[in-house]
Amino acid sequence: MIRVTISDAHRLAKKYGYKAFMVERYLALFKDQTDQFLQGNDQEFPKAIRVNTLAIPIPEEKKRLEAKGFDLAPIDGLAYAFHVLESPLALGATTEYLLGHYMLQSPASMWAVEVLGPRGDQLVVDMCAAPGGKTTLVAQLMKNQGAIVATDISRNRIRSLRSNLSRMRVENSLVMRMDAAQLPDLGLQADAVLLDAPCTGEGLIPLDPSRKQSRTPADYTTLAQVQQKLIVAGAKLLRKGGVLVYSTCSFAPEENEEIIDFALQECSLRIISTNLPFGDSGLTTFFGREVDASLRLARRFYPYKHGMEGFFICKMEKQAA
Amino acid sequence: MQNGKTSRLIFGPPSEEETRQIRQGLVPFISEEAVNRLLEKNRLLLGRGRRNEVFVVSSPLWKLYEQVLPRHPYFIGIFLGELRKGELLPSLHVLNYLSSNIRPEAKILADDKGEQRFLYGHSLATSEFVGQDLSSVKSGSVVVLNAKGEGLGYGHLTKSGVKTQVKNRLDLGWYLRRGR
Repeated sequence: MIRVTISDAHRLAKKYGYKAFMVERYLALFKDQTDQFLQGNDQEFPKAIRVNTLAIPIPEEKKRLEAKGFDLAPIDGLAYAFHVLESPLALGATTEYLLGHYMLQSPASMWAVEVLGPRGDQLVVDMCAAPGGKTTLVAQLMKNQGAIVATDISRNRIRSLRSNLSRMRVENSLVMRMDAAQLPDLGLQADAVLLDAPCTGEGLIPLDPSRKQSRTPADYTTLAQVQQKLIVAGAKLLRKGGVLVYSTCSFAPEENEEIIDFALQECSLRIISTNLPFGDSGLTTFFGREVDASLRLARRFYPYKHGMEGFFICKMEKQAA
Repeated sequence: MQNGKTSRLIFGPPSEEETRQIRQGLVPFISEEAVNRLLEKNRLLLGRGRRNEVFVVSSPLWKLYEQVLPRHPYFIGIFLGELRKGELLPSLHVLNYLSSNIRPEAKILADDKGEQRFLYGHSLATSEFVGQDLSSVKSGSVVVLNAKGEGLGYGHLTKSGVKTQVKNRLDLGWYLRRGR
C-alpha cells in the first residue's frame, strides 16, 4: 500500500517543475510509478517523419534522405515512418519536404489513423483536422480515392491545413471552416470518423515543457464539455456499422475514459479493439470513479513506457439505435 | 497565386467563358490532351470572393459538395489556381501534374544551386540552367524543374541577346514563407 501525502506532491512538483495539483493527480493515477512517469516526461524523443506514398515510394525517399546525410531508423509497425536520428539540415526546410515527400509527424498521431483504417471506397470525416497531419495520412491510406470531409474552426489553423493538403498532394478532401459540433447539420453518413479532440495536451509535455505550468484545474472541465459535444456529433455522423476513433494527447481520464463512458451512455456506440500490439489498457477506475469495463480496450501511451508522447486512442462502432 | 489568406468563397460552376479561360491558362504548360485528362472525369468549381479560386473536383467530392450546400466549402479537391482578370494563375497544388506533363518549350531545368536559389524566391540566371537547348524554350510563362525533373515552381522567362533569365513568380518555398 502506497501512502501519498501532500508533501510528496509538492516535493515532486518542485523537483520536476510542475504545478502541484497536476502532480497530485499523477500520484493518484500512477502511484509508485509517478517518479518514473515524471522522469519520462523530461526525456527527448527523436523526431519522426512519415513518407508520403502519394508522392514517392518509401525506399526511394529513404535513399534520397540518406544520401543527404539523414540517419533514419524504421518504426515498428509503420512501414512508411522513420525516426530521424541525425539530420544535417532542418527537416522542415529540405527540397523533399517542400515537394511533399514527407510529413513531420509523431508516431502516436500515425497510430490513431492506422486504428481508424480508412479505405478508398469510404467517406471519412476528420472533425478537428488542422494542421492536417492525420488528414493527409488518411488521404495517403485511401490512395486519394473516396472522400474526406475535414473541418476546423480556427481561421489561422485552417490555413495550415490547406497548405499541408496542397503540399502533400491530397486531392480527395472537402474542407469546411466550421464548428465540428455542427457537422450533423450537413446530413452526412460517414463510414469512419476521426475525432482528435482539443485537449489540455498534457501528453505533449516532453515536447513542450511549458505545459507543466500552463494549465489550471478548470481546464479539464471546460475541455470535457467541448469533447462531449464533439463526440456526440461524431456519433451522429456515422452510418450503422461505421467506426469512430477518439484520440487525445492527454493523460487526464476526464478527457478520455470519462468522455467515452458518456458517449457509450448517450450514443449507440460500442468499444471495439484497436488491435494495437502495445500500449496500456484504458482505465476503468480512477479518482474513486468507475466507468464502463469495455474501456480496457482503449489504449494509453506514456512517454516513460512507450517512448512517445502521451496519447489516448479508443475505437468505437456505431450500433443500431 | 497561392491564397495565403482566408476569405469566404461562394462556389458554383464556372461560366462557359470562364471555363475557356481556365483551359487557356493551362495550355501554355501542357497539351490539350493532358488538359482533357485532368478534366475528363472531374468537374470544375469556381469559388467567387475577394479572389476567384478554381478547383478540380472528383465525382465523390462533387456529390458531397451538393450535399453540404447551402454551406460553402473552404477548399475542395485540387486547387487549380486563381482566375484573375480572365487569366488563370496556376497553383502549387497542380504543379506536380503540370510538371509531369510539361511541354518541352515551357520547361526550365535548374541545377542544384539554381534549385536552392529558386526555392528561396530568387530568379534564375543562364548559368543555373542545366542540360537543355534554350533555343526551344519560349519567352513567357514556364515551369521550373530541378535536375530530377520535379516541379519547383513557376517563372517568367525573358530572352535578351544571349542572356536568358527566369523571374520567379511562385515557388515551393511559399509553403515555408507563407503556408504555415
